Amino acid sequence: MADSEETGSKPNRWHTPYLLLLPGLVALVVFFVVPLFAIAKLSLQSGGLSNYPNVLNKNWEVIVRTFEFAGLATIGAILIGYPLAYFIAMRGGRYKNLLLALVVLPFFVTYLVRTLAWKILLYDGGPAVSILHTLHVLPPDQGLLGTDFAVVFALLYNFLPFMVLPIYVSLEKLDRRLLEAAADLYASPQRAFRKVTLRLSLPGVFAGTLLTFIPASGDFINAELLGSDRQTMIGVIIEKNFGKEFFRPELSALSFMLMALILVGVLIYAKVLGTEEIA
Amino acid sequence: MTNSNPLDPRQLSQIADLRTSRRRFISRGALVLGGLAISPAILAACGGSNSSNSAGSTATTTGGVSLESLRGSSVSMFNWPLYIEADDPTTSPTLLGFTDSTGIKVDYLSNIDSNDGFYTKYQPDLAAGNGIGADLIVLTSWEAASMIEQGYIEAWDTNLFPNKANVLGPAASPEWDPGRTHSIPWVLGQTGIAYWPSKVGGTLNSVESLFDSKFKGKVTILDEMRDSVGLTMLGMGNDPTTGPIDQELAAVEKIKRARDAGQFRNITGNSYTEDLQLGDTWIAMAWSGDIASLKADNPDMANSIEFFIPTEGGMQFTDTAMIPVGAKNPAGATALMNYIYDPAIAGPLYEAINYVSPVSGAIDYMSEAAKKSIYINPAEDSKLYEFRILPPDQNEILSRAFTEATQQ
Amino acid sequence: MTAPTSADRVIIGGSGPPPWLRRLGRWALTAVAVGTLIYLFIPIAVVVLFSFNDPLGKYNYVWHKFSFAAWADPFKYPELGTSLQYSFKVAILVTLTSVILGTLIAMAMVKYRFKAKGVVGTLLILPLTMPEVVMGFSLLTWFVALSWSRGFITIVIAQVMFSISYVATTVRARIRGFDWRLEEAALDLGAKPLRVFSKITFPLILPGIIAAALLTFALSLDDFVITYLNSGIDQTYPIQIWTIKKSRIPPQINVFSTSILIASIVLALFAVWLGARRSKRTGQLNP
Repeated sequence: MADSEETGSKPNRWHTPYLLLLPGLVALVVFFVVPLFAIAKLSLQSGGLSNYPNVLNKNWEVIVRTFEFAGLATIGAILIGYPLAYFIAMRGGRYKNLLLALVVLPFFVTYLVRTLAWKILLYDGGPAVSILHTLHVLPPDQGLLGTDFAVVFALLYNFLPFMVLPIYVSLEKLDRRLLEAAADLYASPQRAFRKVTLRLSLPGVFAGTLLTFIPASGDFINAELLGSDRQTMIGVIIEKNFGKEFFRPELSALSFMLMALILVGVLIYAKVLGTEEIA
Repeated sequence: MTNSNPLDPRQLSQIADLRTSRRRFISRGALVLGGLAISPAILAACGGSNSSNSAGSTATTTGGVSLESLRGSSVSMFNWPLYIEADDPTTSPTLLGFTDSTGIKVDYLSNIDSNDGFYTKYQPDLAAGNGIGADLIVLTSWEAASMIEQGYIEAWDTNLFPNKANVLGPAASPEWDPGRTHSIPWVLGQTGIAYWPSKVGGTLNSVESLFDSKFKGKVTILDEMRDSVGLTMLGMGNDPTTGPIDQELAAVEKIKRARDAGQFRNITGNSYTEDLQLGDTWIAMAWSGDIASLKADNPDMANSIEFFIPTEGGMQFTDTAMIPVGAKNPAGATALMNYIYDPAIAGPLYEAINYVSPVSGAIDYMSEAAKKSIYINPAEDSKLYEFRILPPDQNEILSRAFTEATQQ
Repeated sequence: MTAPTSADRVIIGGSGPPPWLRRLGRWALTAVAVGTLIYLFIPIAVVVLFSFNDPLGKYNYVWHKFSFAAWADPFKYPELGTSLQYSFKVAILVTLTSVILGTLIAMAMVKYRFKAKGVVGTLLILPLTMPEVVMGFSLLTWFVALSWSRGFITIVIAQVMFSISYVATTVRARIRGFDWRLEEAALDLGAKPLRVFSKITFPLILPGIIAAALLTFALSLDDFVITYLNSGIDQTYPIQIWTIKKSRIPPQINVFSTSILIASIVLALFAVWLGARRSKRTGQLNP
């Protein structure tokens, strides 16, 4: 179902897609692709191609940790983001747009201010830790900040709208009559959900995953502000050391490696989901 | 020469103290330097306000710019936070006084927060010879040395800078800028240790407290390599002003082992003050100005936190003012630094911002309370060391080792 | 009134869980949704609360005592207001540009089959994968090479570069699976292409565009590293806060944030009211 959206273009309009693409693509090529060549050149300095495997080796632990954190945050975002998107789309009624705005609203408060608020809530002497100590969920000398949990928690929080909104837009267009038809055909609500709703909202889940997992992998600020040096992510290493010129070749190589790894992951994910692609 | 020795505060205070007593002189060198430092101050005292003095000494040769001709122009300056009174350029007596006496406006921005960040953002422009929108910038000495070497910095207009001679003796002529033709210190800061006596249960005085496993998980050190490695070296009985690299790498090794054992709550930059304030961090490697500001501003903090320079010694850093290439008003920038290097102006300024003044004689224009402040007038027995300037290959080796030890 | 959902219908055939379980399921869904919203707003509540704090020093970390002082003097630090305005101007232009460019790309990708599709699809993902400092730096060196001085336009360009991907991805999620024969049918019935677009296509993709616009606007307001490297003297709001946070963190920052929140909620409520009025008048179901 998700695959057959192409209607063949009429012969006399073969150029239309290219016209539509042109402005955006030109901008991307001129201001994104071209500058990247300079970075590619930089990545080959003082070491050449061997920079790539070297930097992978040196940072393997951090790379694995980065994908772990981003992956956990993404899964968490799907688990709590899908129900929220579903609720807004199916039960929101005339308040749909208001609820949607509410989801994004926290992000109009600058990141630094939001994160400071989390710090105030989560620091060792703060309310959250006290409660968790009393409930014996946390051992007495263990805090929340500077832990893996804090970083994943912050990543989840800061990327949640990027999961909710794409799922919402793909759910909202769901034709209810499809569900009625399913019921008419003796499908139980769960089956109808699985076979109709879920499948039709897969593009939304796919989009949300892209917009959550990928930026989370390159993120540095959550780890830096709420984590400790034990939660270093790739983004932190790149950002912290880029000021030193002799580091730049390998950091550039590291960036391209990150890009390649993510692309491979996305391709696999797309195949598994059954959506036909990135394209 | 002078910069290979620890900065002996006794020398500092002698040179700075006009009221020298014969008993405190220990060397002819200090006498000569003291004399050099004193004379402009005496001239200033005799000649009335300092600005009219410099206005009197108009330039006629190189550049041919006179102070009078700069009236009505403006100087733009990028600096670190907390380096001007109240961090508010609109009310800063120093900046307002400068504008009053010279007619030059100052556009002041506290927009520098890291040497590396500054370098990343502005180096492409500087390398291309473009201006960066500033006539005056302030960076830490090791970054300043690198930028001067790469040709990104312009020289002072010496005719407009007679007060340059007021710079403190030990800082007067570093290897990387002999005669201070391209740079001049803005503040002399100290890296020491701040802590909560109530939480550690007593008084601390040693660098080794940072590594004491009793405080495991409650200690933060700085991600600024020269500070962390330097202090660690001092704790190991080594001298950061000389190296050699083996000792520096050994210090990195020690940090790595401590980190692997979970000793440090975090290894971070400016944000260490947050955790320290909240009490999550008990002991923090800290910059003097941050702690002074924290305590001055908040009576709770004043009572809760203490700062000390360890008995083994502390690190000194010099944040240095310079004119970047492409500056629109280098003469104005020079004039501003000249104004600051008048001890009568410097005294109140450095008292307000809680830093050691690089201007000799300034301390005499400060209050009694300031003279007792360890942030402005380090104690007699405080040994302060400035990390040596590393040759590029050793800089790379040490930086890599430090990054690996603290991030990977 | 919305169309009845599947859960409301009586199941012919009797398969499925009993009504009480279905009700429980619905209640659970509501609980998770509301809980998530609360979770989103917890730190916001702290931000609002601390706008009423009178901190003991210059840093608004620890609650000291209740006070309206910051609200009485919100513009005490003028640089906060100017940088916020600047950020809004940037965000508006970035959102407009990215939404237009990104939607065009999304439509091309979904409606047509063409040879370069795979390349374009990959190209769209790439900006998301690049760490900010590298992307920002590469653009910076490019601007220096072009001798473009850094300022408003360079910030906008830099932000648009990653925003296009967000817009294209979000709008695509919306329009995949559409039956484009609706458009063909309208054309066959003699409607001009522009009318087809405005009456059929646009209303269908509009929710996707609104969602993309909201996300892009929020992203733009928050962007730090890329903006820092590509800005001139004028600072955006996040950069301004970052640079002053060593000197002070005044409650005025919280006042600004709270005001933005209130204004946005009022706007959204107004939109709801407008929508309700319109559907009452026309008798249409809510789009």
